[in-house]
Amino acid sequence: MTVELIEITKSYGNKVVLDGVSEKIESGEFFVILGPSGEGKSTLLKIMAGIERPDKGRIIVDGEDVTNRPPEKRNVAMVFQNYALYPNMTVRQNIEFPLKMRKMRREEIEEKVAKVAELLGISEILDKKVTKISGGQQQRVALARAIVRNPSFYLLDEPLSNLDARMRTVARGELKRMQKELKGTFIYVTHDQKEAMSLADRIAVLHAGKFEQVARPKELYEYPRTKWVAEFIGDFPMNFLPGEVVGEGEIEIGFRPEWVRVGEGRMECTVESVEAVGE
Amino acid sequence: MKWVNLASIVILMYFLFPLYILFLLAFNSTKFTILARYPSLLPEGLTLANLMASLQGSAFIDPFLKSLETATLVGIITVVLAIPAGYGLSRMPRSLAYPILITLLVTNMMPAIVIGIPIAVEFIKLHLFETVPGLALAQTLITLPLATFILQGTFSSIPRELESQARIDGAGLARLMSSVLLPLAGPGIAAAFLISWMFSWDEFTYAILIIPFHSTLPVTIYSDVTRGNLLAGIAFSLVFTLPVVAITLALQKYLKGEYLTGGIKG
Repeated sequence: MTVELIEITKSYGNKVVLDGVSEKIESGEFFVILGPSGEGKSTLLKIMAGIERPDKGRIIVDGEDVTNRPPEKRNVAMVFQNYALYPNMTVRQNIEFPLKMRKMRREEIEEKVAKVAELLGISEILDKKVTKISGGQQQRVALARAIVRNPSFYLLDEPLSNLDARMRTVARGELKRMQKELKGTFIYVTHDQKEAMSLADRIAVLHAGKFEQVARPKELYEYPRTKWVAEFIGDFPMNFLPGEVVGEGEIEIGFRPEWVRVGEGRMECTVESVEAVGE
Repeated sequence: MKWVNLASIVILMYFLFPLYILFLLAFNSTKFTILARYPSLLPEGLTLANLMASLQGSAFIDPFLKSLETATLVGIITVVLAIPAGYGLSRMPRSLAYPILITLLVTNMMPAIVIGIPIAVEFIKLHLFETVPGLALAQTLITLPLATFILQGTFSSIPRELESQARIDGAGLARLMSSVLLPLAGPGIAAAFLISWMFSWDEFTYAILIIPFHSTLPVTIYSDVTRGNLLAGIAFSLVFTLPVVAITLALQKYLKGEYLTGGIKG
Protein backbone atom coordinates (compact mmCIF):
# COMPACT_ATOMS: atom_id res chain seq x y z
CA MET A 1 0.00 0.00 0.00
CA THR A 2 1.37 3.40 -0.82
CA VAL A 3 1.38 6.08 1.82
CA GLU A 4 1.54 9.67 0.71
CA LEU A 5 2.26 12.58 3.01
CA ILE A 6 1.34 16.01 1.73
CA GLU A 7 2.69 19.10 3.44
CA ILE A 8 2.27 17.77 7.00
CA THR A 9 2.61 20.59 9.51
CA LYS A 10 2.42 20.35 13.28
CA SER A 11 3.38 22.69 16.07
CA TYR A 12 3.04 22.59 19.84
CA GLY A 13 2.49 26.10 21.09
CA ASN A 14 5.17 28.19 19.47
CA LYS A 15 7.38 25.26 18.65
CA VAL A 16 7.08 24.12 15.06
CA VAL A 17 7.84 20.40 15.08
CA LEU A 18 6.93 19.51 11.52
CA ASP A 19 7.08 22.14 8.86
CA GLY A 20 5.64 20.77 5.66
CA VAL A 21 6.73 17.16 5.32
CA SER A 22 5.92 15.60 1.96
CA GLU A 23 6.89 12.21 0.59
CA LYS A 24 5.40 9.23 -1.15
CA ILE A 25 6.21 5.88 0.38
CA GLU A 26 5.91 2.99 -2.06
CA SER A 27 4.18 -0.30 -1.49
CA GLY A 28 6.45 -2.91 0.08
CA GLU A 29 9.11 -0.38 0.90
CA PHE A 30 11.18 -0.33 4.06
CA PHE A 31 11.17 3.38 4.71
CA VAL A 32 13.29 4.69 7.58
CA ILE A 33 12.87 8.13 9.10
CA LEU A 34 16.18 9.09 10.63
CA GLY A 35 16.92 12.12 12.73
CA PRO A 36 18.36 13.28 16.04
CA SER A 37 16.24 13.03 19.19
CA GLY A 38 13.54 15.63 19.60
CA GLU A 39 13.14 16.37 15.91
CA GLY A 40 9.53 15.22 15.71
CA LYS A 41 10.07 11.73 14.28
CA SER A 42 7.66 10.16 16.73
CA THR A 43 5.17 12.96 16.17
CA LEU A 44 5.18 12.24 12.46
CA LEU A 45 4.58 8.58 13.15
CA LYS A 46 1.74 9.38 15.52
CA ILE A 47 0.17 11.57 12.87
CA MET A 48 0.34 8.68 10.40
CA ALA A 49 -1.25 6.42 13.01
CA GLY A 50 -3.98 8.95 13.71
CA ILE A 51 -3.11 9.46 17.38
CA GLU A 52 -2.19 13.07 16.67
CA ARG A 53 -3.78 15.37 14.17
CA PRO A 54 -1.69 17.45 11.81
CA ASP A 55 -2.31 21.20 11.87
CA LYS A 56 -2.17 21.19 8.11
CA GLY A 57 -1.56 18.67 5.38
CA ARG A 58 -3.05 15.39 4.26
CA ILE A 59 -2.30 11.70 4.41
CA ILE A 60 -3.31 9.58 1.45
CA VAL A 61 -3.25 5.79 1.78
CA ASP A 62 -3.75 3.97 -1.50
CA GLY A 63 -5.47 6.96 -3.02
CA GLU A 64 -7.78 7.43 -0.04
CA ASP A 65 -7.60 10.47 2.21
CA VAL A 66 -7.37 9.21 5.80
CA THR A 67 -6.34 12.48 7.45
CA ASN A 68 -9.48 12.78 9.54
CA ARG A 69 -9.94 9.13 10.40
CA PRO A 70 -9.39 8.03 14.01
CA PRO A 71 -6.70 5.38 14.55
CA GLU A 72 -9.22 2.57 15.01
CA LYS A 73 -10.49 3.11 11.47
CA ARG A 74 -7.13 3.26 9.69
CA ASN A 75 -5.98 -0.34 9.82
CA VAL A 76 -2.39 0.50 10.63
CA ALA A 77 -0.18 -1.46 13.00
CA MET A 78 2.24 0.25 15.29
CA VAL A 79 5.08 -1.00 17.45
CA PHE A 80 6.07 1.42 20.18
CA GLN A 81 9.51 1.83 21.66
CA ASN A 82 8.33 0.35 24.96
CA TYR A 83 6.22 -2.22 23.04
CA ALA A 84 3.00 -1.08 24.79
CA LEU A 85 1.98 -4.65 25.56
CA TYR A 86 -1.17 -4.87 27.65
CA PRO A 87 0.26 -5.85 31.03
CA ASN A 88 -3.02 -7.31 32.23
CA MET A 89 -3.07 -9.92 29.49
CA THR A 90 -1.14 -12.99 28.43
CA VAL A 91 0.96 -13.12 25.27
CA ARG A 92 -1.89 -14.84 23.46
CA GLN A 93 -4.47 -12.28 24.58
CA ASN A 94 -2.19 -9.48 23.47
CA ILE A 95 -1.82 -10.90 19.98
CA GLU A 96 -5.53 -11.68 19.77
CA PHE A 97 -6.62 -8.22 20.83
CA PRO A 98 -6.71 -6.50 17.41
CA LEU A 99 -8.47 -9.51 15.88
CA LYS A 100 -11.08 -9.57 18.63
CA MET A 101 -11.73 -5.90 18.03
CA ARG A 102 -12.65 -6.87 14.47
CA LYS A 103 -15.09 -9.48 15.75
CA MET A 104 -13.32 -12.26 13.93
CA ARG A 105 -14.49 -15.83 14.46
CA ARG A 106 -12.87 -17.78 17.31
CA GLU A 107 -11.33 -20.50 15.10
CA GLU A 108 -9.96 -17.96 12.66
CA ILE A 109 -8.32 -16.02 15.50
CA GLU A 110 -6.72 -19.14 16.92
CA GLU A 111 -5.40 -20.16 13.53
CA LYS A 112 -3.88 -16.75 12.85
CA VAL A 113 -2.30 -16.48 16.30
CA ALA A 114 -0.76 -19.92 15.99
CA LYS A 115 0.65 -19.05 12.59
CA VAL A 116 2.20 -15.75 13.61
CA ALA A 117 3.57 -17.24 16.83
CA GLU A 118 5.24 -19.92 14.77
CA LEU A 119 6.70 -17.32 12.43
CA LEU A 120 8.24 -15.38 15.31
CA GLY A 121 9.19 -18.38 17.41
CA ILE A 122 7.05 -17.51 20.41
CA SER A 123 4.69 -20.50 20.35
CA GLU A 124 6.01 -21.76 23.69
CA ILE A 125 5.32 -18.60 25.63
CA LEU A 126 1.80 -17.91 24.36
CA ASP A 127 0.18 -18.50 27.73
CA LYS A 128 2.67 -16.57 29.81
CA LYS A 129 2.01 -13.12 31.19
CA VAL A 130 3.72 -10.46 29.11
CA THR A 131 5.33 -9.03 32.24
CA LYS A 132 7.07 -12.37 32.86
CA ILE A 133 8.97 -12.66 29.56
CA SER A 134 12.30 -11.20 28.45
CA GLY A 135 12.77 -7.93 26.58
CA GLY A 136 13.58 -9.73 23.33
CA GLN A 137 10.44 -11.83 23.66
CA GLN A 138 8.36 -8.76 24.42
CA GLN A 139 9.65 -7.19 21.25
CA ARG A 140 8.59 -10.24 19.25
CA VAL A 141 5.16 -10.25 20.86
CA ALA A 142 4.70 -6.60 19.92
CA LEU A 143 5.74 -7.45 16.38
CA ALA A 144 3.43 -10.46 16.32
CA ARG A 145 0.52 -8.31 17.41
CA ALA A 146 1.29 -5.91 14.56
CA ILE A 147 1.67 -8.61 11.92
CA VAL A 148 -1.31 -10.75 12.87
CA ARG A 149 -3.88 -8.22 11.73
CA ASN A 150 -2.53 -7.80 8.23
CA PRO A 151 -2.51 -3.99 8.27
CA SER A 152 -2.24 -1.66 5.29
CA PHE A 153 1.11 -0.48 6.61
CA TYR A 154 3.36 -0.81 9.65
CA LEU A 155 4.66 1.97 11.85
CA LEU A 156 7.64 1.19 14.06
CA ASP A 157 8.93 3.65 16.62
CA GLU A 158 12.48 2.66 17.58
CA PRO A 159 11.36 -0.88 18.33
CA LEU A 160 14.89 -2.16 18.87
CA SER A 161 16.26 0.51 21.16
CA ASN A 162 15.29 -1.30 24.36
CA LEU A 163 17.27 -4.40 23.43
CA ASP A 164 20.90 -4.97 24.33
CA ALA A 165 23.45 -4.49 21.56
CA ARG A 166 23.75 -8.14 20.56
CA MET A 167 20.02 -8.84 20.53
CA ARG A 168 19.56 -5.70 18.50
CA THR A 169 21.73 -6.94 15.65
CA VAL A 170 19.89 -10.25 15.55
CA ALA A 171 16.48 -8.61 15.73
CA ARG A 172 17.47 -6.21 12.98
CA GLY A 173 18.17 -9.04 10.55
CA GLU A 174 14.97 -10.75 11.51
CA LEU A 175 12.93 -7.63 11.04
CA LYS A 176 14.29 -7.13 7.56
CA ARG A 177 13.61 -10.75 6.64
CA MET A 178 10.10 -10.47 8.03
CA GLN A 179 9.38 -7.37 6.00
CA LYS A 180 10.53 -9.01 2.77
CA GLU A 181 8.45 -12.10 3.54
CA LEU A 182 5.31 -10.10 4.27
CA LYS A 183 5.97 -7.66 1.44
CA GLY A 184 4.72 -5.07 3.89
CA THR A 185 5.15 -1.33 3.82
CA PHE A 186 7.27 -0.56 6.87
CA ILE A 187 7.75 2.95 8.16
CA TYR A 188 10.44 2.88 10.76
CA VAL A 189 11.67 5.66 13.00
CA THR A 190 15.12 5.65 14.54
CA HIS A 191 17.97 7.89 15.61
CA ASP A 192 20.49 5.10 15.09
CA GLN A 193 22.01 5.46 11.65
CA LYS A 194 23.57 1.98 11.63
CA GLU A 195 20.08 0.62 12.04
CA ALA A 196 18.77 2.91 9.34
CA MET A 197 21.56 1.99 6.90
CA SER A 198 21.15 -1.76 7.35
CA LEU A 199 17.35 -1.83 7.22
CA ALA A 200 16.21 0.82 4.84
CA ASP A 201 15.29 0.74 1.20
CA ARG A 202 15.17 4.49 1.50
CA ILE A 203 16.09 6.80 4.35
CA ALA A 204 14.48 10.15 5.02
CA VAL A 205 16.56 12.48 7.15
CA LEU A 206 14.31 14.62 9.29
CA HIS A 207 15.78 17.94 10.34
CA ALA A 208 14.16 21.19 11.40
CA GLY A 209 10.70 19.89 10.61
CA LYS A 210 11.47 18.85 7.05
CA PHE A 211 12.85 15.88 5.19
CA GLU A 212 16.28 17.23 4.45
CA GLN A 213 17.01 14.39 2.08
CA VAL A 214 15.31 11.19 1.03
CA ALA A 215 17.61 8.68 -0.59
CA ARG A 216 18.92 5.12 -0.64
CA PRO A 217 21.43 4.50 2.17
CA LYS A 218 24.50 4.41 -0.06
CA GLU A 219 23.48 7.52 -1.87
CA LEU A 220 22.85 9.31 1.38
CA TYR A 221 26.32 8.43 2.57
CA GLU A 222 28.15 9.30 -0.61
CA TYR A 223 26.10 12.14 -2.00
CA PRO A 224 24.55 14.05 0.92
CA ARG A 225 22.53 16.93 -0.39
CA THR A 226 23.32 19.37 2.39
CA LYS A 227 26.20 19.96 4.71
CA TRP A 228 24.01 19.12 7.68
CA VAL A 229 23.23 15.66 6.28
CA ALA A 230 26.90 15.15 5.47
CA GLU A 231 27.85 15.84 9.05
CA PHE A 232 24.98 13.86 10.53
CA ILE A 233 25.44 10.67 8.50
CA GLY A 234 28.39 8.38 9.08
CA ASP A 235 30.39 7.30 12.11
CA PHE A 236 32.40 10.46 11.65
CA PRO A 237 31.06 13.67 10.21
CA MET A 238 32.18 14.38 6.69
CA ASN A 239 35.36 16.47 6.44
CA PHE A 240 35.28 19.82 4.72
CA LEU A 241 37.99 21.81 3.03
CA PRO A 242 37.59 25.25 1.54
CA GLY A 243 37.99 25.21 -2.21
CA GLU A 244 37.23 27.14 -5.32
CA VAL A 245 35.64 26.34 -8.65
CA VAL A 246 37.73 28.32 -11.06
CA GLY A 247 35.74 31.24 -12.32
CA GLU A 248 32.66 30.43 -10.17
CA GLY A 249 33.75 31.40 -6.67
CA GLU A 250 34.27 29.73 -3.32
CA ILE A 251 32.88 26.30 -2.41
CA GLU A 252 33.46 23.67 0.26
CA ILE A 253 34.69 20.22 -0.61
CA GLY A 254 33.41 17.39 1.54
CA PHE A 255 35.01 13.97 1.79
CA ARG A 256 34.80 10.83 3.92
CA PRO A 257 37.89 9.69 5.84
CA GLU A 258 38.11 6.40 3.91
CA TRP A 259 38.21 8.27 0.61
CA VAL A 260 41.61 9.64 1.53
CA ARG A 261 44.55 7.95 -0.10
CA VAL A 262 47.94 8.47 1.43
CA GLY A 263 50.99 9.21 -0.68
CA GLU A 264 49.31 10.78 -3.67
CA GLY A 265 48.61 14.36 -4.54
CA ARG A 266 49.97 17.55 -3.11
CA MET A 267 48.17 18.02 0.20
CA GLU A 268 49.83 17.48 3.53
CA CYS A 269 48.40 16.69 6.93
CA THR A 270 49.44 15.59 10.37
CA VAL A 271 48.10 12.57 12.26
CA GLU A 272 47.01 13.77 15.68
CA SER A 273 45.67 10.57 17.16
CA VAL A 274 44.88 6.98 16.23
CA GLU A 275 41.85 5.09 17.51
CA ALA A 276 41.32 1.35 17.27
CA VAL A 277 37.78 0.60 16.12
CA GLY A 278 38.11 -3.12 15.61
CA GLU A 279 38.30 -3.42 11.86
CA MET B 1 17.70 -1.42 66.85
CA LYS B 2 16.55 -2.81 70.18
CA TRP B 3 15.36 0.61 71.29
CA VAL B 4 13.39 1.03 68.12
CA ASN B 5 11.69 -2.29 68.77
CA LEU B 6 10.92 -1.35 72.32
CA ALA B 7 9.50 1.98 71.23
CA SER B 8 7.30 0.36 68.64
CA ILE B 9 5.98 -2.08 71.24
CA VAL B 10 5.14 0.80 73.58
CA ILE B 11 3.35 2.68 70.80
CA LEU B 12 1.55 -0.46 69.71
CA MET B 13 0.33 -1.07 73.27
CA TYR B 14 -0.81 2.52 73.52
CA PHE B 15 -3.01 2.06 70.48
CA LEU B 16 -4.17 -1.47 71.23
CA PHE B 17 -5.01 -0.95 74.89
CA PRO B 18 -8.43 0.63 74.27
CA LEU B 19 -9.24 -2.26 71.94
CA TYR B 20 -8.18 -4.66 74.67
CA ILE B 21 -10.50 -2.94 77.16
CA LEU B 22 -13.28 -3.18 74.59
CA PHE B 23 -12.56 -6.87 74.25
CA LEU B 24 -12.71 -7.37 78.05
CA LEU B 25 -15.95 -5.45 78.32
CA ALA B 26 -17.48 -7.50 75.55
CA PHE B 27 -16.46 -10.97 76.67
CA ASN B 28 -15.90 -10.83 80.43
CA SER B 29 -18.89 -11.50 82.55
CA THR B 30 -20.35 -8.18 83.66
CA LYS B 31 -19.66 -8.83 87.30
CA PHE B 32 -15.92 -8.47 86.58
CA THR B 33 -16.32 -5.34 84.46
CA ILE B 34 -19.09 -2.74 84.63
CA LEU B 35 -20.58 -4.15 87.82
CA ALA B 36 -17.23 -4.49 89.61
CA ARG B 37 -15.82 -1.84 91.85
CA TYR B 38 -12.31 -2.70 90.67
CA PRO B 39 -12.69 -3.96 87.08
CA SER B 40 -10.35 -6.78 86.15
CA LEU B 41 -7.66 -6.21 83.53
CA LEU B 42 -7.52 -9.92 82.72
CA PRO B 43 -10.01 -12.08 80.87
CA GLU B 44 -12.26 -13.55 83.56
CA GLY B 45 -15.46 -15.55 83.32
CA LEU B 46 -15.50 -15.36 79.52
CA THR B 47 -19.01 -15.41 78.14
CA LEU B 48 -20.94 -14.69 74.96
CA ALA B 49 -24.02 -13.66 76.88
CA ASN B 50 -23.28 -9.93 76.65
CA LEU B 51 -23.06 -10.03 72.88
CA MET B 52 -26.03 -12.36 72.51
CA ALA B 53 -28.23 -10.09 74.57
CA SER B 54 -27.22 -6.93 72.73
CA LEU B 55 -27.05 -8.12 69.17
CA GLN B 56 -30.48 -9.68 69.10
CA GLY B 57 -33.39 -7.87 67.54
CA SER B 58 -33.71 -4.81 65.41
CA ALA B 59 -31.91 -2.48 67.83
CA PHE B 60 -28.65 -3.69 66.36
CA ILE B 61 -29.58 -4.96 62.91
CA ASP B 62 -31.28 -1.77 61.71
CA PRO B 63 -28.41 0.67 62.29
CA PHE B 64 -25.93 -1.99 61.12
CA LEU B 65 -27.75 -2.41 57.81
CA LYS B 66 -28.11 1.33 57.48
CA SER B 67 -24.37 1.81 57.94
CA LEU B 68 -23.65 -0.98 55.48
CA GLU B 69 -25.99 0.46 52.87
CA THR B 70 -24.66 3.97 53.28
CA ALA B 71 -21.01 2.96 53.13
CA THR B 72 -21.53 0.78 50.07
CA LEU B 73 -23.52 3.47 48.33
CA VAL B 74 -20.85 6.06 49.13
CA GLY B 75 -18.21 3.72 47.74
CA ILE B 76 -20.15 3.16 44.53
CA ILE B 77 -21.11 6.80 43.90
CA THR B 78 -17.57 7.91 44.65
CA VAL B 79 -15.90 5.42 42.37
CA VAL B 80 -18.36 5.95 39.52
CA LEU B 81 -17.73 9.69 39.60
CA ALA B 82 -14.03 9.57 40.43
CA ILE B 83 -13.05 7.24 37.57
CA PRO B 84 -13.91 9.69 34.76
CA ALA B 85 -12.71 12.64 36.86
CA GLY B 86 -9.39 11.00 37.70
CA TYR B 87 -8.88 9.79 34.15
CA GLY B 88 -9.63 13.22 32.70
CA LEU B 89 -7.28 14.95 35.11
CA SER B 90 -4.51 12.45 34.44
CA ARG B 91 -4.63 13.25 30.72
CA MET B 92 -4.67 17.03 31.20
CA PRO B 93 -1.53 19.14 31.20
CA ARG B 94 -0.16 19.22 34.74
CA SER B 95 -0.31 22.98 34.95
CA LEU B 96 -4.06 22.67 34.58
CA ALA B 97 -4.71 19.45 36.49
CA TYR B 98 -2.89 20.36 39.71
CA PRO B 99 -4.79 23.55 40.50
CA ILE B 100 -8.04 21.64 39.93
CA LEU B 101 -6.95 18.86 42.27
CA ILE B 102 -5.90 21.31 44.95
CA THR B 103 -9.21 23.13 44.65
CA LEU B 104 -11.03 19.83 45.03
CA LEU B 105 -9.12 19.02 48.19
CA VAL B 106 -9.81 22.46 49.62
CA THR B 107 -13.47 21.47 49.99
CA ASN B 108 -12.26 18.98 52.60
CA MET B 109 -10.92 21.79 54.75
CA MET B 110 -14.40 23.08 55.48
CA PRO B 111 -15.71 21.71 58.80
CA ALA B 112 -18.42 19.12 58.17
CA ILE B 113 -20.78 20.80 60.59
CA VAL B 114 -20.67 24.03 58.60
CA ILE B 115 -21.71 22.25 55.42
CA GLY B 116 -23.86 19.65 57.14
CA ILE B 117 -26.52 21.96 58.53
CA PRO B 118 -27.40 23.76 55.28
CA ILE B 119 -27.36 20.42 53.49
CA ALA B 120 -29.73 18.94 56.05
CA VAL B 121 -32.08 21.90 55.60
CA GLU B 122 -31.98 21.56 51.83
CA PHE B 123 -32.50 17.79 52.06
CA ILE B 124 -35.69 18.25 54.09
CA LYS B 125 -37.12 20.08 51.09
CA LEU B 126 -35.82 17.46 48.68
CA HIS B 127 -37.17 14.56 50.77
CA LEU B 128 -33.64 13.27 51.25
CA PHE B 129 -33.66 13.92 54.99
CA GLU B 130 -33.57 10.71 57.07
CA THR B 131 -32.68 8.68 53.97
CA VAL B 132 -29.66 6.57 53.13
CA PRO B 133 -29.14 8.16 49.67
CA GLY B 134 -29.21 11.59 51.29
CA LEU B 135 -26.51 10.71 53.80
CA ALA B 136 -24.48 8.94 51.12
CA LEU B 137 -24.55 12.04 48.91
CA ALA B 138 -23.39 14.24 51.78
CA GLN B 139 -20.53 11.91 52.69
CA THR B 140 -19.49 11.68 49.04
CA LEU B 141 -18.58 15.36 49.35
CA ILE B 142 -15.60 14.29 51.40
CA THR B 143 -14.70 11.02 49.69
CA LEU B 144 -14.95 12.18 46.09
CA PRO B 145 -11.97 14.57 46.13
CA LEU B 146 -9.81 11.94 47.85
CA ALA B 147 -10.84 9.23 45.42
CA THR B 148 -10.29 11.56 42.45
CA PHE B 149 -6.82 12.27 43.77
CA ILE B 150 -6.02 8.57 44.12
CA LEU B 151 -7.39 7.66 40.70
CA GLN B 152 -5.68 10.59 39.03
CA GLY B 153 -2.42 9.07 40.26
CA THR B 154 -3.41 5.60 39.15
CA PHE B 155 -4.34 6.65 35.63
CA SER B 156 -1.23 8.82 35.35
CA SER B 157 0.86 5.71 35.92
CA ILE B 158 -0.69 3.97 32.91
CA PRO B 159 1.47 4.86 29.90
CA ARG B 160 -0.33 6.76 27.19
CA GLU B 161 1.19 4.45 24.59
CA LEU B 162 -1.04 1.67 25.88
CA GLU B 163 -4.07 3.76 25.12
CA SER B 164 -2.78 4.71 21.69
CA GLN B 165 -1.97 1.08 21.05
CA ALA B 166 -5.47 -0.02 21.99
CA ARG B 167 -6.99 2.56 19.68
CA ILE B 168 -4.68 1.55 16.83
CA ASP B 169 -5.68 -2.05 17.49
CA GLY B 170 -9.24 -0.98 16.82
CA ALA B 171 -10.71 -0.38 20.26
CA GLY B 172 -13.22 2.43 20.71
CA LEU B 173 -13.58 4.29 23.98
CA ALA B 174 -15.80 1.65 25.58
CA ARG B 175 -13.46 -1.24 24.77
CA LEU B 176 -10.45 0.84 25.71
CA MET B 177 -11.99 1.37 29.14
CA SER B 178 -13.25 -2.13 29.74
CA SER B 179 -10.31 -4.09 28.33
CA VAL B 180 -7.32 -1.93 29.13
CA LEU B 181 -7.78 1.05 31.43
CA LEU B 182 -10.12 -0.34 34.08
CA PRO B 183 -8.30 -3.66 34.58
CA LEU B 184 -5.00 -1.80 34.92
CA ALA B 185 -6.50 0.74 37.30
CA GLY B 186 -8.10 -2.07 39.30
CA PRO B 187 -5.96 -1.75 42.44
CA GLY B 188 -6.43 2.03 42.48
CA ILE B 189 -10.16 1.69 42.04
CA ALA B 190 -10.30 -0.86 44.84
CA ALA B 191 -8.28 1.42 47.10
CA ALA B 192 -10.54 4.38 46.32
CA PHE B 193 -13.63 2.30 47.00
CA LEU B 194 -12.35 0.92 50.28
CA ILE B 195 -11.16 4.27 51.57
CA SER B 196 -14.54 5.81 50.77
CA TRP B 197 -16.29 2.86 52.36
CA MET B 198 -14.27 3.14 55.55
CA PHE B 199 -14.75 6.87 55.77
CA SER B 200 -18.50 6.52 55.52
CA TRP B 201 -18.54 3.57 57.93
CA ASP B 202 -17.38 5.65 60.90
CA GLU B 203 -18.56 9.08 59.77
CA PHE B 204 -20.49 10.82 62.53
CA THR B 205 -21.22 14.50 61.86
CA TYR B 206 -23.19 14.17 58.64
CA ALA B 207 -24.89 11.06 59.97
CA ILE B 208 -26.25 12.76 63.06
CA LEU B 209 -27.32 15.82 61.08
CA ILE B 210 -28.96 14.07 58.17
CA ILE B 211 -30.31 10.91 59.79
CA PRO B 212 -30.84 11.97 63.42
CA PHE B 213 -33.61 9.54 64.38
CA HIS B 214 -32.97 6.05 63.04
CA SER B 215 -29.31 6.52 62.34
CA THR B 216 -26.19 4.59 61.42
CA LEU B 217 -24.05 2.57 63.83
CA PRO B 218 -21.68 5.34 65.01
CA VAL B 219 -24.60 7.55 66.02
CA THR B 220 -26.41 4.61 67.62
CA ILE B 221 -23.32 3.67 69.64
CA TYR B 222 -23.02 7.26 70.76
CA SER B 223 -26.61 7.46 71.95
CA ASP B 224 -26.41 4.03 73.65
CA VAL B 225 -23.32 5.03 75.58
CA THR B 226 -24.65 8.46 76.57
CA ARG B 227 -27.98 7.01 77.66
CA GLY B 228 -26.32 4.41 79.85
CA ASN B 229 -26.94 1.38 77.65
CA LEU B 230 -23.28 0.43 77.95
CA LEU B 231 -23.44 -3.22 77.04
CA ALA B 232 -25.16 -2.49 73.74
CA GLY B 233 -22.62 0.23 72.99
CA ILE B 234 -19.80 -2.21 73.68
CA ALA B 235 -21.20 -4.99 71.57
CA PHE B 236 -21.94 -2.67 68.69
CA SER B 237 -18.47 -1.15 68.89
CA LEU B 238 -16.90 -4.58 68.64
CA VAL B 239 -18.93 -5.58 65.59
CA PHE B 240 -18.34 -2.13 64.21
CA THR B 241 -14.56 -2.52 64.41
CA LEU B 242 -14.29 -5.87 62.67
CA PRO B 243 -14.99 -4.75 59.07
CA VAL B 244 -12.53 -1.91 59.49
CA VAL B 245 -9.78 -4.30 60.57
CA ALA B 246 -10.58 -6.66 57.71
CA ILE B 247 -10.63 -3.88 55.16
CA THR B 248 -7.44 -2.31 56.45
CA LEU B 249 -5.69 -5.63 55.97
CA ALA B 250 -7.08 -5.91 52.45
CA LEU B 251 -6.14 -2.34 51.70
CA GLN B 252 -2.60 -2.81 52.92
CA LYS B 253 -1.95 -5.22 50.08
CA TYR B 254 -3.00 -2.61 47.53
CA LEU B 255 -1.23 0.29 49.15
CA LYS B 256 2.13 -1.38 49.01
CA GLY B 257 1.57 -2.46 45.41
CA GLU B 258 3.71 -0.96 42.70
CA TYR B 259 0.80 0.78 41.09
CA LEU B 260 1.25 3.94 43.15
CA THR B 261 4.78 4.40 41.89
CA GLY B 262 3.82 3.85 38.28
CA GLY B 263 5.28 0.37 38.15
CA ILE B 264 3.16 -0.74 35.23
CA LYS B 265 5.49 -1.93 32.55
CA GLY B 266 4.42 -1.23 28.99
